[in-house]
Amino acid sequence: MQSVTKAIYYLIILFPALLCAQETDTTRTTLEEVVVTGQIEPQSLKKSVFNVRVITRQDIQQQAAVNLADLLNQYINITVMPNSTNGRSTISMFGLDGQYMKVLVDNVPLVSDTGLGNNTDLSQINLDDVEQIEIIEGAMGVTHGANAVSGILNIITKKSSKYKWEAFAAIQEETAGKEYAWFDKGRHIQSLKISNNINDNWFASIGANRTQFAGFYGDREGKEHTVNDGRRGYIWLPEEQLVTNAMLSYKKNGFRAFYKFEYLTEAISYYNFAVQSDFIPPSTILKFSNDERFLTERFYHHLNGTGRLWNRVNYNVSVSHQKQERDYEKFKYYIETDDEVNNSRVTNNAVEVLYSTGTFSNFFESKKVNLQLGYETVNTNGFALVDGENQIPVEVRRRLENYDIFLSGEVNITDRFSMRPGYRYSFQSAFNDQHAVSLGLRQLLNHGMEARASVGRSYRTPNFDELYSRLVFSGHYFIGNPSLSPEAGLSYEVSLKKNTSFSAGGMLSNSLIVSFLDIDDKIDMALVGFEPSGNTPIYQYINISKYRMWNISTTHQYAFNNFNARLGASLIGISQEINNGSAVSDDKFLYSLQLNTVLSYNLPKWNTLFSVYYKFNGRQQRFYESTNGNGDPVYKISTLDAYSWLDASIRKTFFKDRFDVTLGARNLLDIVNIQQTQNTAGSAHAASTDILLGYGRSYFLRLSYNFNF
Amino acid sequence: MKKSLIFVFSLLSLAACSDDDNTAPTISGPSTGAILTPAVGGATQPNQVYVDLSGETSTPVLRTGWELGFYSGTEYRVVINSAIRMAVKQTASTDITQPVAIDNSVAVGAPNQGSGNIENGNTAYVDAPSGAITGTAIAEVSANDADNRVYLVNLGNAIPAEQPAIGTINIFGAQRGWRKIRVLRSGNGYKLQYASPEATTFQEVTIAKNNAFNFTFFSLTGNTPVNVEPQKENWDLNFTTFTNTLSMGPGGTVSYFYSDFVLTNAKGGTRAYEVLNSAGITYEAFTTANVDASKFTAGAAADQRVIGANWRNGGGPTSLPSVRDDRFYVVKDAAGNIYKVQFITMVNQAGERGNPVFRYELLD
Repeated sequence: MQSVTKAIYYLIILFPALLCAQETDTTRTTLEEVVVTGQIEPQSLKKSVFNVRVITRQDIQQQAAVNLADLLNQYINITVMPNSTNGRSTISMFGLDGQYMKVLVDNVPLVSDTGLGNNTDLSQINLDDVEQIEIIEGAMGVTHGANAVSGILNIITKKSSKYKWEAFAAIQEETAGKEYAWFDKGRHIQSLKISNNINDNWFASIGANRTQFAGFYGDREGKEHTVNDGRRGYIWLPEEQLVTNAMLSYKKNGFRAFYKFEYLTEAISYYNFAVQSDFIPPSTILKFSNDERFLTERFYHHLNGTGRLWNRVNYNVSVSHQKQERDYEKFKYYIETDDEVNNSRVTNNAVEVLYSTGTFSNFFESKKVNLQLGYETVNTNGFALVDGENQIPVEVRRRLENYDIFLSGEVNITDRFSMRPGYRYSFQSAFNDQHAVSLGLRQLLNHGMEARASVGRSYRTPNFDELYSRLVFSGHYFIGNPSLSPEAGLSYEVSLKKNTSFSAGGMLSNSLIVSFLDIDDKIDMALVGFEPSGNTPIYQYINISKYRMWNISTTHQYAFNNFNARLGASLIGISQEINNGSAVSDDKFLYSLQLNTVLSYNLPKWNTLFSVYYKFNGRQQRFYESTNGNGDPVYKISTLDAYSWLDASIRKTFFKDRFDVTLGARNLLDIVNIQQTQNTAGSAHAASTDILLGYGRSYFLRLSYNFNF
Repeated sequence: MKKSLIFVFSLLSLAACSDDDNTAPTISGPSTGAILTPAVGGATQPNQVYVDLSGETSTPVLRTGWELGFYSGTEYRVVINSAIRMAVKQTASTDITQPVAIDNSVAVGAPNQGSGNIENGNTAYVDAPSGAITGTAIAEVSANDADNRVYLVNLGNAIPAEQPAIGTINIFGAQRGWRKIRVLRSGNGYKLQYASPEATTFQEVTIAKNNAFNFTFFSLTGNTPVNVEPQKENWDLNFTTFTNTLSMGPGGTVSYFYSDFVLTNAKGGTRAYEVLNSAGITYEAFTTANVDASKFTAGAAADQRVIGANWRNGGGPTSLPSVRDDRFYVVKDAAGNIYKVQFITMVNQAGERGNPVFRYELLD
C-alpha cells in the first residue's frame, strides 16, 4: 500500500500542470509527429484515435542505444529483463511477459526463437536503421492479430535519403563496468551504411553492424583460467552479433514499393566454471572445460507495395518470409591449446514463417468515414526441442496457420469527435477460431485538450512448451496440453492529453492515462489428477488462472528554446489468481511504481546536446509457488527491491553535422544486483537471493561520420 | 691374476642376474613421487584401493568382500564395512539363538524417490566416520560375556551390474540381506557368533589380533576370514565409497553414502592437512620449507576424512562433478616421509567416473 500512497502523491504533484496550464494562445498543435501504427493512413499524433508513444531517432542517438534492450530501459510501463545465463533480453509490459506483446518491423511482426512477433529477444534488434519506434499500449488484436494483448511495438525503418549518395560509418566503444580493453573486455560496435538514389524512381541501401561484447568478468577470470576454483568464465556471457541489411525501393506516381532484407547471426558463449583435466599416460595433464555456445541465425525478407486502385482505393500490401533458428552447441575445450573437440550441435528452436498482410481503404469519397478492410495470413512452421519423458528432449514439429480478415473504420462524427470501431475474425488451424474487437473514441476539447477512450479484445496463442512438453520421470509428471485454448485479454483505456503553447515560446504537453486489462483464462501448470498406477500427481498446462491489471500513468513534456524536459509516472496494480489445481493465490492487487525523467539541453554555439535519463523501478511483488509448514502447496509473495537507472550523455557535432561524437555513461548508480526476498509466511525468516541486472557503471564513446553528396 | 679377476667379475654379474630374475630391484629409500591411477573400477566403483605413497603401489580389493573388521590395537572393537552401506543395531538380548526381527530403519540414509526427503540414516547405526575406534556402532566387546549383546546387521548393498550414463555413478545395488551377530572376547582375540536373523542356531569362529594390521577382516557371507587392508605401515590412502554423516541443519545429522571418497590411514599413523591456493601457494611452488609440522599433530589431522570428499565438487543438476585443483594435500606417512598430493581427475578420457588420477612428490 505504501507504493500506492507514494504514487498518488507523485500524481498530485505532477498533474496540476495539466489542469492549470491555460495561459496561452490555445490549440496550436505542438507535436506534429506523424505516426503509422494502427492508423488507416499515416497521420498526426493528434488525429490518432489510439494513444501512440513515439521514440524518435534523436532519443536513440542521445542514449547511444545499439539495440532495443539498451533503449527501452528508460520507458515507463516497460521493464527489460536481461538474462545473464542465456544472453537474452526480454520485455515485460504491465507485468505480462514478452509473449503478450507484439514486436513489428515496418508493420510486419518479427520472427523470434519461438514465434512470430512475440517473446522477442530485444538484444537481437539493431537500431542502426531505425527512423522511429511507435508503441501502443493495450489490446491491438484487430489490426495486429495474435499476441497483441498488452501492446504493440512497431519499428519504422528509414526508407529514403535526401542525398544522391549517403555514407555513414560509426564506431562505439563501451566499458562493461570498470572493464575495458581493445578486444578482451567491454563492448565494441562498428557499423557502416551506404545508400544511393539511383534515379528518380529507384533507391538502394546496404548496411552492416557488428557488435562484440567480451562478457563481464566481475570476480571471474574468463575462459583461459585453468584452475578449478569456480572462477572460470564470465558473469555476463560474451556475445558477438552481426547484422547485415539491404533495401531497394521504387516509386513512380502514386505507387511505392520496397524490398528489405536482413540477415542476423549471433553467437553467445558459455564458459563452464568447472575446469577438468585429462590424464594421458604416462604424465601428460591437459586442462579442459565442457563449454557451450548458442547460435542464432535470422533471415528476414519483406516486400511491400502501396498505391491506389481504380484511382480510388488505397492499398498497402506486405509479403514476408522470415526464418529464425537457435542452435545449441557443446564441445570440449582444451584451455591451454584453444582446441575444440567433440563438438555436437543441435537445433533447439526453429521458426519459418510465410506472412502476408494487406489493407484496403478509402473505398468512397467521404471526409466523415474511412473504412479499412484488411487480411492477414500467417503460416508458421515451428520446430522445438521440448522436455520429454525421462528428461530426454523430444523434437516437436508443427505447422500453425491462421487466415484472418479484419474490418475497421474511422468515423469523424464531428470535426472534434471520431470513432474507430474494428473487428477481426481469425481462422485458426490448430485452435478454435479467434476474434478480436476494438472500439476507440477521440474527442478534441478546448484549450488543446484531447480525450480518448478505447476498449479491445485480443488473444494470445499458446507456445510449444505449453502445448507439447512432456516432463515425465520418477515421481514427476508435468505435461503440455495440445488442446489448450488461446488466452483472451480484454483491455480498457481512457486518457486525457493537453498540449499548450506559451506565448513566450515554451511548449508543454501533458497526459493522463488510466487503463485496465483482464485475462480470464490464463494458462498455468496445474494439478489435474494422479497417475492410475501410483500416487504421482499429474500436472498439466490448462486455462485456469486469472490476471487483472490496472494502471494509471501520466507524462509531461516541456520544451523551451533549447531546453527539453520529460517526466513520467506510472502505477501498476496487478491481481493474479494463480491456480495450480491444489492451491490458489490471493487475488489482492500488488502495486509497483515507475518514474522516468529525461532532461536535455542544446547549446547551439557549441553544437552540443547534454542529456540525462533517469528511471525508477519501484518494488515489485509477485506470488510464487511454495509449501507451508505441513508441506501443502501455497502461494507466497516474493519481493524484488526497487532500483533505478541513470544515464547521461554529451553529444557534439562537428564539420556541419558530419562528424558526431557522443560521450556518455550508463547505469551511473552502479547497479549490479538487486535483492529478491521470498517472504516465508508464518515464519520469522525470509530467504533472499540476488538477481543480476547489470554490470555497474559503464562509459561509452561513439564516433560517427556522415558523408553526403 | 688377470684370469681370476675376470672370474670374479663374471661371478658378480651372475649374482646380479639372479637378483634381477628372482626379486624386484631393491628400492633404496622411499618413492620421490609419481602419478598414480588407483583402479577404483569405473562408475560402479567396485573396488577399495589402498595406496602406499612411499612404495608407489596401489592394491585394489573388491569392496563387497568383507563385512566386519576386528581391531588389532589394545581396545576390543569391531567395525562394519562402511563401503557398502552397512548398518547395525543393538538388540536387548544376549541370546543369539533367539530370532531377531528385521528392522528396515536400520539403514544408511537415502533420499526418498518421491519426496526427496532423506529417510533412515540414524547415525547410531554406523561407525563414527572420523575413524575414531571408540566411535564404532558396535559397543566395545566386554570381557564379561553377559554384557555382549546381539546385533541386527544390515549387510548393505551389492555392487550394481548396470553401468550408469557417462559422467554419473551407480554405487549401490540390491540389498545384500540381514544377519545377527554377537561378539565375545576369546583370550587375546575375539569370538564371533553369527546367524540369519530368524535362525535358532549359529556359527562360531575365533579371530586372533594381528598387530601387523589395523584389523582382521571377516566375511559373513563367505563364512571366512579375508585379507583386505595391506599391513598397516604399507598404505596411506584408501580410495573407496564411504558411509559419511551429513548435517541436515535443524533436522539433525544423518548417515549418507558417498562415492569418490579418499580416507587416510589415520590408525596406521598417516597424518594429512589441506592447503588451498587461496592461502597464497600452489602445488608446484610448495617445498619442504612450507610444511607446517604443527598441522600433523593437530586433532584434525587424525580424522581419516582430511581428504574425504574435499578433493572434488559434487556437481549439481546442471553440472558434472569435477576435481578441485585449487588445493592439494600434505601427507606424512608412518615412517615420517612427507609428500604433497594433488588430484588430477576423477574420470577417464571417455568421461567415465571412478577413474581417479593423482600426483605426488616427496618433500625432502
